[in-house]
Amino acid sequence: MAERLLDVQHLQTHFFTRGGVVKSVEDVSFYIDEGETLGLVGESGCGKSVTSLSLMRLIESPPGKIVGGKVLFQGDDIVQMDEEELHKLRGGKIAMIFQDPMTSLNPLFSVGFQIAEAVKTHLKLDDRAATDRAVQMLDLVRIPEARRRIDHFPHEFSGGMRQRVMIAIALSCNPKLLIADEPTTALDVTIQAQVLDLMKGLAQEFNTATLLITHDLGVVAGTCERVAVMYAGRIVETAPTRTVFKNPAHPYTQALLNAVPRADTPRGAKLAAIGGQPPNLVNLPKGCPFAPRCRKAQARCRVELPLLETVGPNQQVACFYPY
Amino acid sequence: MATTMPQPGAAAPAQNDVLVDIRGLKVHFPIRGGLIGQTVAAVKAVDGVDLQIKRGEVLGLVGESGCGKSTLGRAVLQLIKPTAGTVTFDGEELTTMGTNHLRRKRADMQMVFQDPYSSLDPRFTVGNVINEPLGNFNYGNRAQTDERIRYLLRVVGMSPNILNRYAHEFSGGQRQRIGIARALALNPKFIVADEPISALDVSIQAQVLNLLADLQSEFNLTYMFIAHNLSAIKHLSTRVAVMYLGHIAEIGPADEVYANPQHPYTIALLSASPYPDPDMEKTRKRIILTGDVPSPVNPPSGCPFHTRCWKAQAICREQYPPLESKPGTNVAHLAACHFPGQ
Repeated sequence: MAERLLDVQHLQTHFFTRGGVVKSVEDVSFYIDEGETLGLVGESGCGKSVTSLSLMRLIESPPGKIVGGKVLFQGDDIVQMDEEELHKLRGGKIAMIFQDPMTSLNPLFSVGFQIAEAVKTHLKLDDRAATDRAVQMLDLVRIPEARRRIDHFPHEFSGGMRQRVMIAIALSCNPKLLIADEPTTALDVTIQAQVLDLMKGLAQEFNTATLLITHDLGVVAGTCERVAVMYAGRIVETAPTRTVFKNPAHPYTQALLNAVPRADTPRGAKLAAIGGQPPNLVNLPKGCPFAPRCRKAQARCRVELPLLETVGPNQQVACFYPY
Repeated sequence: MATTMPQPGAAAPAQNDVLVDIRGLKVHFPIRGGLIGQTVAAVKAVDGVDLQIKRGEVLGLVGESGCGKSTLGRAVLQLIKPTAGTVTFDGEELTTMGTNHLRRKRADMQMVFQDPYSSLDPRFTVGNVINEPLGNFNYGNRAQTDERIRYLLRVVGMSPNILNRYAHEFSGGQRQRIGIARALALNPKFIVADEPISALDVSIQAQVLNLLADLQSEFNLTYMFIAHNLSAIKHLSTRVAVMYLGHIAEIGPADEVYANPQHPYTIALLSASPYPDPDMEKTRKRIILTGDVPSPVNPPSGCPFHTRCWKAQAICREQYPPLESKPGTNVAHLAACHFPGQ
């Protein structure tokens, strides 16, 4: 059995704004084992990116603050770490890639320099060894003529290549955990397939665990072993990928799956859209946050908050009336 | 699934069946350079497209960013002046039409944009937004336009009481509905919807797709539906055209193209598009294309796809393959490839 790598317990991240307290992440718990890929799915504003930034302690404060919970990484609580410990962790044991590779690469430095910077800091390599490592990493992410390309600047690469450079930087220090926040959302379908294929292969090769944050259920189906579904700052369901798709327990998960057209959906047939919109995170409704949009909601759902409970093998759901 | 049975009227539609007839359309954007700003090169965004859109049909246009699909949509509406070619709309030639005449024609052809955040003026109330086309075309007096605006809001599933609120008060899906109400204001015949759902969340995408489908049958609209999301395209479209580097690589009835793709690019695109079913994802064969889309400034010779194609032969580098029906497929199903099929 694989070791537990990351164990998030009752994480709460709030933003203190003029309009009130935005409870972006509320009582979120999940774990990732070594080498495992967990998909975190949800719609915009559900708190999935804030969750990932909280794991790295990258929440800007003020206005944001982790107000509760633990993030245990190999047994150490990231929430309690000081700056020096965090510096070692970020880019070393935990690496992150973002949606938009152009804004996460520095336009003023060559990509070789940016990879070398990371390995010099974390692996304590000298200049020459760092450059060799940069070439090796670019080779690994299948950038042709890596030796020559390390001197090129980010704008000289296409979108897909930039994301591959980001992956090269992220994996250059052999992290234990890779957090990928919508890594392929800005990319085209054929390029997305390239990048996902590459990420999957490299994660296996180096036994890197991955937290893949996405809104695309198709991406999850093809890449993740387990899935956690978020809604309005909370995890509403978590289960192995196949269970989530074949036997979803939470009405929100079911609704998300039904909302996308499938191969056998007849042309123009009514899609099962979810009515209404996600709630405002400042003024959350009492009870279950999904209740106002839920087709199964009963009186109880509007007054009492359901918590995650085990309903099947490895499947947990926060709902009073699952399935 | 391959059938050779021609569908009635599918191959050569009678002239009056065709609402939009595009012939040899090219849009080249000049790149200026040097001291005196001469044209040094051109971005060949659309490079010779022939396309007929029949009345009441939904033509889905797919392709990756930079393939020219948005430019094609805009050039059809004359929002961008085509460099060459003709666009006949409802029997009238648009490319040579005078400004005033064209302005009147615009009532019949409208557009729904991708980004519901930037396509609505933040200083306008919802009422102003929908009133703008009505006012421009002298729809009627105050009471009549008010009635019309309220009606349009109801049609797109919004409350008529939001007239005096501003766009920023609404979510993406609601804004997209307001944008659709604006497009419908003048009873158009033809709507170009450019990525109308790609900025929206999954649960909201379904709402907007349903709305577009309902409106199409209710008002007998003709759509050109531009998207990169293959399942959305399939859901709404009767016919699908796949674009690559300014050319149509494949076109045909939607079911045919999806079940029996002929062009290697279509095959790769379909296989690369992630599908929300873990069992299917595990078993199906995925074709991973190498490299990126070449630059439209300097497109490859011959077939523009040959640089990424696993079937490419010498002839592909030399000759542009004609867009034609391939053996064993529906006569309305055309592909531009020397070596078509799986």
